[in-house]
Amino acid sequence: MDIFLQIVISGLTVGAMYAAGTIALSLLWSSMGMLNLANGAFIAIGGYAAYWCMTVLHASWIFALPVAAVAGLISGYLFYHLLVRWMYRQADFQINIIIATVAVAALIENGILNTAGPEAVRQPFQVAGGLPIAGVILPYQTLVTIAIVLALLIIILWVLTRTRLGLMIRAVSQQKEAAQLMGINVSQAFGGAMMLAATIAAVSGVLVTANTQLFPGVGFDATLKALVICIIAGLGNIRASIFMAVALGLFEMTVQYVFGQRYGFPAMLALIILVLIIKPAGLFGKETVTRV
Amino acid sequence: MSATALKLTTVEAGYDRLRVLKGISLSVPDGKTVGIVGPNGHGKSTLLRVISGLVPLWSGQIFLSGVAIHNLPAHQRVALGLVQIPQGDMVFADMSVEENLRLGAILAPDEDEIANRLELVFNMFPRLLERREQVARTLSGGERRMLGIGRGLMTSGQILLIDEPSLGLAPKLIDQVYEALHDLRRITPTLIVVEENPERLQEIADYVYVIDDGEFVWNGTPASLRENADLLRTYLGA
Repeated sequence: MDIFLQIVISGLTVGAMYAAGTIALSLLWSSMGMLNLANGAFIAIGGYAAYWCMTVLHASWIFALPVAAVAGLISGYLFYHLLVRWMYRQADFQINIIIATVAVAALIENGILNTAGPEAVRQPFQVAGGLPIAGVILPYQTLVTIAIVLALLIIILWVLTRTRLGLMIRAVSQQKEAAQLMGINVSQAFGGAMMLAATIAAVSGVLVTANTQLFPGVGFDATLKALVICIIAGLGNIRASIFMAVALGLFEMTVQYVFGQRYGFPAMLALIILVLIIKPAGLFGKETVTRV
Repeated sequence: MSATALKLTTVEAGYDRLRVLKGISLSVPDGKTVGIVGPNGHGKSTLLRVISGLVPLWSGQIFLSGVAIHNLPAHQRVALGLVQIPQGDMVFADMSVEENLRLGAILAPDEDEIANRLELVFNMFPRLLERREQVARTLSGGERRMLGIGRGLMTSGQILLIDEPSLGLAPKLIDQVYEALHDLRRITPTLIVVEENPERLQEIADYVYVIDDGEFVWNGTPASLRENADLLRTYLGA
């Protein structure tokens, strides 16, 4: 029973973190048809922003998340206006942007490497202690992580369904031309989606690094896993990706417990290959996702 | 003669290297409805897309109430009151009827204005009021067309471009759509309506242009078009 609870708790924690990384990817895919492989760079930016805030500025942990969020927002803005907005009208955007985002990811990672150094450090955003339930200790860190991800999800869904920007993003993602004919500035909607996604990634970066370690390439693994989850769930389906993130978190933790630490990620990759062979559009995906 | 709402001078445009519009000139007076008819694939939709800014212009000029708009992006033309109701089912399929309508008023200044326009649309299309919360993809073809027209009305544009409002609808539904267009004329009198079949257009248009292979080959009143049997046979297969 203890072990079962442990697996569930750690599964939910990693699942929650995966969910945050996944919605960032899914949002950009569904609105722009953009596979953002620089997502990991925003995760690292968030992690380092929180680290900088707490170790260099000696600010309270309360400020770590807002600082990371602002860092993500600004990075997303710059990323959109320096790169994406010049590319999205091109015919081969969907392919070209993948290559471009890999390049940006490498640039940012190397930038961090040259300024912060290659050492893995401990993310100071930590909450000590835990809550004993049913024979196991439920760390506050876990509770905080899950609470923050839930808050993030609620904020995202609120933005998408209740705000003018959200309405614009959804309109553009469903019918780009009709959206333009209503007077929507597609570039503005894309820029908004980009900033939103980068902010989510940066905040999730604080959580990911707090539960592991902080180093320049920290976002790579998280992005790869988010990509796996997105593809299994069906690219662009935000609700299904949240569900899949939690399910795969539990799956990974179970495999890790039963077969050992090193088998978790390979098992996930094996699962994705299986899904792609059986259901190429993902478990909840639509068959037609080609966008122009 | 009243002022000119929309004016095109020798507009050329196309896709890649294919020239679709071969020098179109058109003048739409304020408060008048202009019909454009012609066979499929001869540039009717392209013409509306060029006017709206979805397809770039190769040469020529477009003026909206005397202001050159051919260099403006599509969304800015909407802000100036030039609105297209696109062909077929270009509604936002995964959104509710009300969200679709609200998107039409995305440039509206405030909630009061949006509420006023919603009331106007719901008065014209009581069916949309009944289906207010329903997701657009679950509407019937006729209802979706009504939603498209209602959404265009929500923009409160000065001039509406309507692309084949009868396309793919059963005759009874076409009657309903044209009834709605007649109502629409009372609110937004300046229209450009494109159709493949001139029959329905004649009820609503003040003036008709016949397009063939990217050029206007004839223009005149609906009455004179009816009398012109040769023209109807040659270009419109009637």
